Amino acid sequence: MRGKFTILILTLIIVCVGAITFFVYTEKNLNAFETQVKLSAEQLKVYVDLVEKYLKSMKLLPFSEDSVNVSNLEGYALVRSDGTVTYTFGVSKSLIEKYTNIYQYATMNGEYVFPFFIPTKRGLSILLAVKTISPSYVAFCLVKPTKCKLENSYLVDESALGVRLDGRLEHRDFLAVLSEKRKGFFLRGKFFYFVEPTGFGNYSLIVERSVWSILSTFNNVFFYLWLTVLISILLVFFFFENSVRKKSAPIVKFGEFLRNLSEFKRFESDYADDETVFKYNKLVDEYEKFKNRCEDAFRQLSETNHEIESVNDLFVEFSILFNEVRNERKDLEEALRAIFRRMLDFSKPITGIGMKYEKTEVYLGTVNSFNFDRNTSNHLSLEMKTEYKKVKYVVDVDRFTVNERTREMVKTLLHHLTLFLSIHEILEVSKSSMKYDPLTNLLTRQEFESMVKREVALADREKFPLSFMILDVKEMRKFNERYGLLNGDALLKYIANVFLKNTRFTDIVSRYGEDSFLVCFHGMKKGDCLVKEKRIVSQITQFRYEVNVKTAVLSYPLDGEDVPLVIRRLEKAITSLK
Amino acid sequence: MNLKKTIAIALLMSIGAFLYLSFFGRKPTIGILLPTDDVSAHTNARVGFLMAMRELPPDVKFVDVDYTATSLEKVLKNSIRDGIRYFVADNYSSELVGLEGILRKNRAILVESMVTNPNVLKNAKCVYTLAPTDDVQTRAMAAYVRMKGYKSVVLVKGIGDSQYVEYLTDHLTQLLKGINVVSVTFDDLQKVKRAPDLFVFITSTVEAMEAVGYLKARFPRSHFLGSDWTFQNSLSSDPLMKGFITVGFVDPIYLKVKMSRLSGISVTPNSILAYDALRVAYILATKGIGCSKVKKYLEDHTFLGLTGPFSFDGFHANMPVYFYKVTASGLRLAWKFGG
Repeated sequence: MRGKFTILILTLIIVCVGAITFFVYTEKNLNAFETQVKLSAEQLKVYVDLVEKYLKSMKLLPFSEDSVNVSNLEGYALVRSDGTVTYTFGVSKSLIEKYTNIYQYATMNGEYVFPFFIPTKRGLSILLAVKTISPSYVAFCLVKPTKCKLENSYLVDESALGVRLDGRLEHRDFLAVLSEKRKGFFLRGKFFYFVEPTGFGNYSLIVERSVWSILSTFNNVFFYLWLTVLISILLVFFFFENSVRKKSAPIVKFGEFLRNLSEFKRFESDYADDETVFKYNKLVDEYEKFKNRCEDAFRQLSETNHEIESVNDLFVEFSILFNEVRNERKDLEEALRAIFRRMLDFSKPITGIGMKYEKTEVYLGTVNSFNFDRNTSNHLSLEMKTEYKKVKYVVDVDRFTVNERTREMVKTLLHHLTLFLSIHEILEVSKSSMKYDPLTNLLTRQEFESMVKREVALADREKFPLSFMILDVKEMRKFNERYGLLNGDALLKYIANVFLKNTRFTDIVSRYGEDSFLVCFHGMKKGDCLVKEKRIVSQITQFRYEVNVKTAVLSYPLDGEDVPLVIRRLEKAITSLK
Repeated sequence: MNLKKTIAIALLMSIGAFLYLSFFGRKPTIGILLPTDDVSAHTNARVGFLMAMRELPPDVKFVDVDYTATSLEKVLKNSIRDGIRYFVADNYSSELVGLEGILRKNRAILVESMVTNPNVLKNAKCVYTLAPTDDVQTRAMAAYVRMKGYKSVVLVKGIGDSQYVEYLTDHLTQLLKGINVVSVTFDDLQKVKRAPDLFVFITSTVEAMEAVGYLKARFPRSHFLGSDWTFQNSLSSDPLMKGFITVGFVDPIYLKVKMSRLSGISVTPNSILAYDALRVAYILATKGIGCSKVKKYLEDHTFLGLTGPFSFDGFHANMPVYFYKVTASGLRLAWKFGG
């Protein structure tokens, strides 16, 4: 970069030096040319002054031939203001008379006569004129135009009309030139103009040079030397630039690769041996490895998440299934089969599953009853304790595909299942405890009411009566206070036994209240029931302590349209008894 | 910044500078149409143009458009092709006839200092003249004749510029109804037998000077009046011309004063009209007035000429017609018409 900058500065310096030299040289050239023009103008001035001197002296007597020592003077004439040619020398009178109109015009306009061409025997000549000391005469002088050796030179009069001096017949207007400058040189359009006044008749010498003709003079040794140095510098710069470009090509290409990089990838090119490129590719390889590891971890994490979601779904399904079991809409074994089927679908490595629970045995897939006795790496055998019992599981797995996470998940599911079984057991126990009164082992009031509904339906269909007997222990609180709670409980157990002894299997006996019992006699008429009532009461009074009870009997449908009404009336009747 | 960008910026800047200098930086250009084969007749106009060019600000580029009698149309076409849209010239009416089509086609504007023929100007488009037209001049001459009470007039027709001569002769004949008007050519002067009250010269100065000497000898009581063609500053230098009345378009007071910095050349009305013509062209060029709007612009504005303010009436400037009397002490204003 520093080398490049140095060459650039060097080139600039050389160009500037060249340009300055060029301008200095051009200016020098122009000045030299201007000097040349001035010299020509001076010569012209001397010449035309001389002509003027002689012309003005031509009053009535023309100047002698001997006195004519002006070089290039071809001839002269004297013309009166009315156009009469009075004297000629070196030019024929007829030629002058041919241009009488011009002379007359000139004489009529004062001293001024514009220069113009006139063809003579010796070629073209320029005619200059001046008024003589006598106002009635104008003197004319023929001059050879080749006097001025400068090309494209014009003798221009005060009105900007020019006549060419270098031998060609041409008039030309220089209004635009003289309106800009009346002395010196200047550039106008594609031409340099050199203007130099000559003095006589307010003439000016104007030389026209094209810009190119001025520039083309700049061809000396220095110019070629300068050009050679400049070209050499440029060539050096070119080769230097080329070599730098070649050297920096790998970096440049690698830079372009990095600029357009949309994905972190290896730089595959011919410049792979370059140290930067090599390090970069190594970094890319490390990145690829790390990326793969991350992808594996993410995949496993995703699978775990998926399994956790599946496990959660299974938990929900298990709950639903066990709920159905609890509500007795589904058999436990059926529910377990459904659960195991879902567990088989849960993970591919699980090929079979089985369990033993009390008398229930469930086998699915590759598992059978013999698997409980084997313990191999393909089997996952578990024995768990429920609330009251034990349960055995065996899970057949594909040892090549199964992983620890799946094993743990299966264990979790089985634990969960065991938990459900425990809950099931507890519910079963609690359900049976709610049917029977724990003290008397008689049906509870709720169970009585549900069973009576069935009896009422049968009685309505079969048209047989139902008799109800209610028994209430009088002053049970006082009994408890007097004999203690244990004796109170013993009394209630005693009464329950009396009822059980005096009722049939089809009759429904219940502990209706704290110290009241209600019995439904299946197909028994009211009269028969009254008999039964007396028997029961007599047996109760045989308890080891004195006990007083009150009873009431009503039958359905005789004493009421429906059973609840009958029971309400029974309650009312027993309450009204003292 | 790399080398390619630097070169690209340099190139763009160069192109921008080139375009600016080529199209936006260009000054309006006025072409000065002058002949190089009839140089004597246009010296005064050339002087007027040159003086105006020197005095006007340099915001217009002037270009010399030299022509000869054979190359006028070609030269004009080339100039228009080079982008010149405004011209000033000192043409004759007959020359303008050939240019009219080119100017119309290219919608170029020409301001003339010498053309006076109204028929030619009427047909041309965007050509305007500073000189009063020939019909104005004939009206002025007819008014002068009637003012003086002349009863018989001989019109002397010059040789050359026949369009000018015939127009003035016909028009004057029409305007001088009730007066005995006879027209003769310059060569047939000897045919005039009876002395008229007035000889009217529609000739060149040279012809007029030649004829006046001859006619004064034959008809010493007759008076002499010349059209603008007969005007020359040096008329007074010839004793025979004393009493001669000539028409001009500039107050003679201005003719006594030479234009500054031009010591050798006398001022003529033509110089002054040329000066004013270039000033008008300069204003049109700097304002960018096109061919379609130039007529309205000229009619709506008053211009300040070398001899005072003037305005345009149609295709010509509203200049007064002056009648100069040649005396021993020079030209003196005898009468003035219009303006």
